Amino acid sequence: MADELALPKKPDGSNFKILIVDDSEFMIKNLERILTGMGADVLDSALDGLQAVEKYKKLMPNIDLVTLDITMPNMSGIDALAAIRSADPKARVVMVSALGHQDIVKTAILKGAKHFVVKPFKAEKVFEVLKLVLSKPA
Amino acid sequence: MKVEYLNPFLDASRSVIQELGLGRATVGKIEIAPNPHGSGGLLSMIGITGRLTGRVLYDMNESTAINIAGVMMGETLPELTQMARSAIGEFTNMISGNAATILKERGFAVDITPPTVITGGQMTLTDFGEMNVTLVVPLILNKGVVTVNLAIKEAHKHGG
Repeated sequence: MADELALPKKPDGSNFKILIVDDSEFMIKNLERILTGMGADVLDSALDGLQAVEKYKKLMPNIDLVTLDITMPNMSGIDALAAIRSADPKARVVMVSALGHQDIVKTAILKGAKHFVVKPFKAEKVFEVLKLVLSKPA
Repeated sequence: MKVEYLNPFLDASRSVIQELGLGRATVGKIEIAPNPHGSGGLLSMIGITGRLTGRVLYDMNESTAINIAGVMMGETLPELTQMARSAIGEFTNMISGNAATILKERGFAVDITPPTVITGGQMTLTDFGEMNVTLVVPLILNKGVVTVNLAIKEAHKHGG
């Protein structure tokens, strides 16, 4: 990964810590490669919304950001977003979904998502969004 | 089934295929079939719910699936691995999600289900319920042919 795609460090000099949520093993691996290459630590991944909420609660407060798919079995990303934000009102969640119409983006933002990335995406887009979101206080 | 339901899937397919570095896709001869046959390679099925209801099946032979997954994974694959199957599921999810976005912009609010990927064996795609017409659309890529089987209709309107 090029140096210009290096994410900033936390104030204590450590890497930002991320949970990836997607029902596609391929997408988890793909995002993990991109995020690790940018200098983030991927602490864990989840394959559906229920797992995501459970894992987020276990990782609190040592988790800095969640990438969250929307179309997933058991619990959708929108419901998982609400549950995560209910458990941690400061949670930074970035939606990463193949659905990208205005209503779903608006719903996600109203429920507390910090940003929205539509699939398919380039690594540069993920970098741009995460750099912006992580530059702001949680 | 109205053609206006098909065009969003074609537009989304072309866009996703190009974005993933799979080149350009051209549309082959469109046919109507009551019970189309799977190619025996890989099928990915995605349900459509909301203002429209039905399903879309993406059908491709094994070599096409291996080729497409290989490009998505950035490696040459000797066989259709579990990760490759997942990549194809995501490929079809992206097309369907992007198509749902276009449908929504055109006044048809729909949602999609996660993909179900099935491999192996010749299959006859017996339709569900009242859905008895499937549009069969071959998308011709330089990596092989992906056949889109689309069967959707307007959902029943309930009173109140």
